[in-house]
Amino acid sequence: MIAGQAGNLVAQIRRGVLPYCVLAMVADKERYGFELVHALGSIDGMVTGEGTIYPLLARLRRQGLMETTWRESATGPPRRYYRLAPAGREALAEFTGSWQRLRDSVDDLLASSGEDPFR
Amino acid sequence: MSADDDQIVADYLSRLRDAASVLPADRGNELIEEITAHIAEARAEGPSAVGDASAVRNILERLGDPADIVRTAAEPPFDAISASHPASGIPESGYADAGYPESGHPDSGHPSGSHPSGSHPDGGHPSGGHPESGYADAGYPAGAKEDGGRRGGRAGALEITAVIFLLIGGVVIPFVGWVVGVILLWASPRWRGSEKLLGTLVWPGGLLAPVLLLLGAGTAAVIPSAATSCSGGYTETGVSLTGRHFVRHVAGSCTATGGPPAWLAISLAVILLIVAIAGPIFTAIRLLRRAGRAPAEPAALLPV
Repeated sequence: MIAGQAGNLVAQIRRGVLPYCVLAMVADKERYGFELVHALGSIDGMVTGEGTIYPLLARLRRQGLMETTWRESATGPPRRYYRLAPAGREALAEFTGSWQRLRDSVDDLLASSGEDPFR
Repeated sequence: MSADDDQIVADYLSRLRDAASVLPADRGNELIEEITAHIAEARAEGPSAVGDASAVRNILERLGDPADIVRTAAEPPFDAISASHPASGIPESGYADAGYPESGHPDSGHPSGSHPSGSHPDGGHPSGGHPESGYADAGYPAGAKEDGGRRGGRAGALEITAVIFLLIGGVVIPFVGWVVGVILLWASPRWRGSEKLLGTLVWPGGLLAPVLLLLGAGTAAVIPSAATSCSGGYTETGVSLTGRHFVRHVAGSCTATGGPPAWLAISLAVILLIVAIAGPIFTAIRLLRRAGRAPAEPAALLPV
């Protein structure tokens, strides 16, 4: 490992988990595109550009992990609401388990070693 | 909302439209629509939502550079979630950060095998420090693949067996063999429901149907077509000059009284035969080609 690559690593991790974060956000209730994008964009460091989330939403939809419904909006044009599809629920559940195991392992390692493992 | 704001938005969307011309038309249009709607919603929410007097500029800044947005829509996805859930059509992108390490192409039917960046938590990290170096050489240029979910990979043993049984199972073991093929067809994860339906309906019995047709035609020798009626025939009995009794049938004239002429009936039968043979074969080929898609598998996590 080269020093300074931790930043790249974090960026890659962030990109890797982002689809699952999207799935988690529609797990309990459906949300429309703007709502999702705005919420994700508000989380510090989650994305560089909110616009890049839209291709992700479309891809997750095409992959069958999310389903969408158009609903009329009182304030303007119809909105596309996203919700979790059964396949998406499975994927999210699997991710959650793996993530928690990984997160706990890494946390333990960092705590016990007391130094940055990425040296 | 001033005219200046409208102009700024129009300029942004124009840049987006230009950049999106590299995308397939349906995706590009969808993206432009979504971004346009996003801007409209953000503006409608008012400055309180974005917390800035210069609301429109803020909105566009948060959206990011149109080129980035389009690039994320065009490039192969980064994460393993796509390896197990191939999207239809041209695959999409990594989406968030500017440094785009690209993964191996997830829709190629090689969920973890052929690309070092596939699902290895520790193996794929590029040594050059530049995120793109380890992944960009995956050999899948952006937007190049038309049929992302179907190329690469080959039909597995299950799929090949299913197709064989569908085609000739019905011939080898009448009917039961074809049923086995149908069971295998629906058991395979590599075909969509619509493809499985096609395989079942075109068609029942597989090649058994034309085989039966041929056998039937062979024994009949001639396909009964024209109805005929004969009249004027009679039977003679008598004693020949040599003293032997004889019975002789004298046929009257026979005429075709209706129904299709023989040539037409034969042509129809031949056409039917061709369709009965070509249908299952065509379906079999189609199924085999579609089987090259990667089967759905549990997603590996965090390819880094």
